[in-house]
Amino acid sequence: MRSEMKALKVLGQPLRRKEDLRLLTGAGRFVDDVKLESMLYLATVRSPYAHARILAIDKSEALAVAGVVDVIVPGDCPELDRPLPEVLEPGTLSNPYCDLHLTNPHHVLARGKATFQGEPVAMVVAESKLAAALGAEAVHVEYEELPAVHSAEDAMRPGAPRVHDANPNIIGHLKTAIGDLDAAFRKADFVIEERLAIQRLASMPIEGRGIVASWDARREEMTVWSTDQVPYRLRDALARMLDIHYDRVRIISGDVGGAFGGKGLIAEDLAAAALSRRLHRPVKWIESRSENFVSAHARDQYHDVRVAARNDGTLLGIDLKIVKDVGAYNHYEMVQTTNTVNHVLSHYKVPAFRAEGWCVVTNKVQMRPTRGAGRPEASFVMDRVLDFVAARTGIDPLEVRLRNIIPAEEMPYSNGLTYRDNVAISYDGGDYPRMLRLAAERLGYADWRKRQADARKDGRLIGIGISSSLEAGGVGPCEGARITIDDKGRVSVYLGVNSHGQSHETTFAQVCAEYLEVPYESVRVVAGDTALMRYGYGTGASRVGVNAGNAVMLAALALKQKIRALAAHVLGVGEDDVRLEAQRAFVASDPDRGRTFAQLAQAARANKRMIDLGGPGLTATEFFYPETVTWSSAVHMVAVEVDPGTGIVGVLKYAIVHDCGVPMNSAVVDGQLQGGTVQGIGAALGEEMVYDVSGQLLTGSFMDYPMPRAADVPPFEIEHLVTPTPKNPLGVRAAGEGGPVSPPAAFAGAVEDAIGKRCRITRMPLTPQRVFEIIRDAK
Amino acid sequence: MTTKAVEGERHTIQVTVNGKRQAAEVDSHTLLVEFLRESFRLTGTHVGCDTSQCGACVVEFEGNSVKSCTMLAVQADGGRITTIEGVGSREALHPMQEAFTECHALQCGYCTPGMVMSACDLVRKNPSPSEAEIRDWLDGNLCRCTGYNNIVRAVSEAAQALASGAQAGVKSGA
Amino acid sequence: MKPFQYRLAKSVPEAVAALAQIAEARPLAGGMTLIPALKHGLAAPAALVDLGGIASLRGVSFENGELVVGAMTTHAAVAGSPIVNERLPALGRLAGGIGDPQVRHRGTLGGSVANNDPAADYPAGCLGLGATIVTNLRTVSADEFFTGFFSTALAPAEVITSIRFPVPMRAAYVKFANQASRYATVGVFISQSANAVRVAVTGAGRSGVFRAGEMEQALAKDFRPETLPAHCVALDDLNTDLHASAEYRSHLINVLARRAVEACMGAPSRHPVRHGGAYAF
Repeated sequence: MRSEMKALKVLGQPLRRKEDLRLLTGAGRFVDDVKLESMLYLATVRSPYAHARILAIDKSEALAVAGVVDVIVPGDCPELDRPLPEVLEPGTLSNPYCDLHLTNPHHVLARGKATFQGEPVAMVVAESKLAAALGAEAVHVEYEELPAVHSAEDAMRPGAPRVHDANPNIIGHLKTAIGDLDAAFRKADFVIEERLAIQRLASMPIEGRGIVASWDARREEMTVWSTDQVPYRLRDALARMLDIHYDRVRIISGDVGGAFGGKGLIAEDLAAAALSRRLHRPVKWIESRSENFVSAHARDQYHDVRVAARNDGTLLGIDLKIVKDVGAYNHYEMVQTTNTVNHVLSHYKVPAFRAEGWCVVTNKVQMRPTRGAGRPEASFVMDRVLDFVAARTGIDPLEVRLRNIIPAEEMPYSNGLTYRDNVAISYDGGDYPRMLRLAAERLGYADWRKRQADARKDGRLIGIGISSSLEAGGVGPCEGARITIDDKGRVSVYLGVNSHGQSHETTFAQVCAEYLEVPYESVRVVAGDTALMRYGYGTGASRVGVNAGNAVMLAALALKQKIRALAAHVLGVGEDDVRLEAQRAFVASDPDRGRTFAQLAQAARANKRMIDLGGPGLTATEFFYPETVTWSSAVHMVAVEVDPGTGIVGVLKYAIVHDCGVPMNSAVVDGQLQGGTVQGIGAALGEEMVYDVSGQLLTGSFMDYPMPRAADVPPFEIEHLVTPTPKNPLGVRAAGEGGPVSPPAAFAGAVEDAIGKRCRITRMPLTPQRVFEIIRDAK
Repeated sequence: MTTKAVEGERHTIQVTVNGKRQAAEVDSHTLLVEFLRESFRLTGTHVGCDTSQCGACVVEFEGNSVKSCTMLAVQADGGRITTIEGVGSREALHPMQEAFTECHALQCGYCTPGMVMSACDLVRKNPSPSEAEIRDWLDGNLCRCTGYNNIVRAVSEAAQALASGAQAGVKSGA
Repeated sequence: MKPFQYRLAKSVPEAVAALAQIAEARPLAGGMTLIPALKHGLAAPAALVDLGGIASLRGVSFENGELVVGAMTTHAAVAGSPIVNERLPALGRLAGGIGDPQVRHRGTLGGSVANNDPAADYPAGCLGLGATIVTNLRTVSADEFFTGFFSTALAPAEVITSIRFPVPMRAAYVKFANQASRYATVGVFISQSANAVRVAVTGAGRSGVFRAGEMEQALAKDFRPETLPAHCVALDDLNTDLHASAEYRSHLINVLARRAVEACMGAPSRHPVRHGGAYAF
């Protein structure tokens, strides 16, 4: 499918970002910057309990607060009585593993009982933000506290309280198997068993969620400014709620201050729109950081793993049982657990593998994906397993990996598993052994091994950790791009995907400049407005580069073809006689005879040749539908020193080798990798959502939830490899998730290696206190 | 049942914002960041948390970087405030802004104004900061996108550019 | 944030009068703790009396062998003061390690000491140096001033005007900062003067900052890290929270005290100070 590799001029260059000028001068427009005439403000009353029956709600005092316009409780607003739509509608799933998926209706406002601390119970609209907040405080809710389940283990126990009365707490199940697992365990020299856990954490973009909804009663149209990562899903949800054609709802994204998986549809989105139509005034809701802490979490999955291996360090089989705590509501089917299953084998050959997984509801905040979405869990399991095998056999961890790794000559490699789009998995190229050796070289692996031995004599704890990861990305169904050239030769690229920091305005301008052969400076990328493109499938799952990137390329090629056809007509020659160069179409044998793109754009307005070319204007729209995902890969290696006094883990060196195919902008790829890696370091060393036994969140602010800061991160030694994928014309792979997946596994390996004494690190994060305890218990 | 007054006490204050002296009426409970964003529509100053950690709201007040979410507007009475809008323009970026775009030191851009304001304060006070000094100074500014290393590099390069006078004609402080 | 009245005091008597007159009025110093507390509804005073306009409350001087720091002197001003860094560098470093630069630009000595957050740094400095807290009414020794969890000897409408720090022979403060808040999970301030060794511990105690008597006695006999007892406080008296158990805090007190003694002796620790950060071999 991939067209012949041509020498790239613009694509891949680390060009300055087009977004930067406005963002650096304070001229970005984020949702909270939107201020409309006669705008009202929304505030949410939230359950202080993890699980409680709602006996009564008294809104009279709130209604008396000056400035309060209305107080909404269940039943007040019929539009809000329908549950939130599922992200993946039952019946449309193609997940090949999942055989149980129960849905508990998730209402905008809790009905009858609250199922997690922070669940919306009532809403207040007022003339000012302050009045709304004071009004929310004045809503009196009478609760009867119920026993809460605060862990998946508790929730699965017989007789456990039900989070939702209509369904059991186990709401999802999947299973799959390859090879003969029983034979693997019969042949094994030894078996390792362990429970490995990845903690609950959150995406934590610096901007929270927000919405401004404005109903135009005269035109019966809804305009919404939103931080949603999937604006079209919000559009469709609002259209359904308001019972109007979806073309009457317009979602504008503007600038979005990071998302990382967490910014999807929530209760306030529906409420703001419903109330705007009801009150005929714009309604704004801006999530506070405190609210952000109780709106969506991620990960929280444990793994019971049994491994059959040989004394030479080779793996024979893995038996994996996965339990994911999805909190009170789950709108993502078993996507993340499925991702874990499909990424756990990583860069390695495992002849026999069996996986079974459960999704369990608890009285905690709902689960959403976050960067990596099941993959950090996968690498954590596989790299822990390989480290345990190394410790057991006495073979160096690097050597154990080389003994199990997939050789480059076996690419494309199929392991027998099936991706969640129901297509058989096939790793589409890459040289994993080379990546591993290169990472070892860049880290100075052998040298650190020597230094480790020397340092140990002085009582210093130095260790090395290794983690490999895969990132299946670019999942469909498709994305589109429309490219238009105006009468002055200026180029616009319209996309159906919005950006929350991914540099779309830059990278897709580069794709267009490369394939339309126009200057980068003349291209403007316009996106984040559902009125511009009618369909889009969201920025997430590292899918946009592959889908939208190839759509832009296809549209550029289609537009060139259209230009050639029109120019041939105007110049009175055959299409094969027309050449395009420097934004000009001319007769190959007589270069002086030609028209500029600008002139042709003018001609295309009325020229009848355009009847056969799709109508007036120099414009082309193309969609790219990937067959299935493409596989990016990375190896992270870290050398650490552990302070035995405090448990603090310092980084001596951190090396990454990364392959995401053809980069659209090498600085953007590098930035994605670095930023993602630091999120992974946060997950490895500190970030965790901690609940007490009554279901109260103890880490409810940045005072208790440690975000990595500038002094908490090391510099990285990075090597970018470029193995173009044959699966799409651009040769691009996913670039969003190569960073965050490996750090937890790499740090676990490194800290375990530093402490030695046969300690086993089995759960994340490695806070100083946890490291102190591991050292204490290893004695 | 009592109706609580939402209107607080009003104060008239004089402030110089981005070089322009102006009088304004504020409530006693109005935060400086609300005042800047609402009264002057200077929306480049952002709010990212409610516990004074994230630093998206950093502005310069009387020669020091401060968190405008943790200061009352009345406390700014008589003072000089510079926001990101007063640092440089699209046509003439400040060397710090120039270095940020050159070093790919921003992605979503939400933390960026606060980060730039904080960094400008550092290089004003310490014209040639070491890498460690830059990292320590940025302790009050969270970024979730970049992983910080490009920001640290940008601050270092801006400091060098400012020190060597490479940006003649551009004012040397924010 | 609930509405309140705001009064800018021009002098200490004016501030005291306003605090006495208005029911539920609170003094506002740097506001670094109070303003977030207002935002979260954890405090809802009827009025704030801003001490920020009283010039006489700011500044550092050296008088009669003591460092005198005005109550409204910011952490940044203390950290950057040539007098502090010449006479009592340990105090300058303590101030320079509070919060972040923006907090240090607004936060004040008096505000921190009056609040007596059990994880704040300055209370350890005051207690570890045997400082004298000067108010509009009287002087109080640090030993008597800090009376427990968020509580002090201050009476209503009494405000701190300055703090006098005796200058010891040597002193050091070593802090293990909470990964998230940068408050002290544990902080140990040690000073040695001609007639005494003082060891003050913040962040760890259930009732706030305290002196570690056993450590003081050990160091008074022999000022070396090796002499420090492994555990100097009953675990029941130490705080347990999600960041650190009493056992871990007890361990940290010993580790940090040893490092503080080493720092007093001019041998700073080579251990990494930031979790996850770069560290040289």
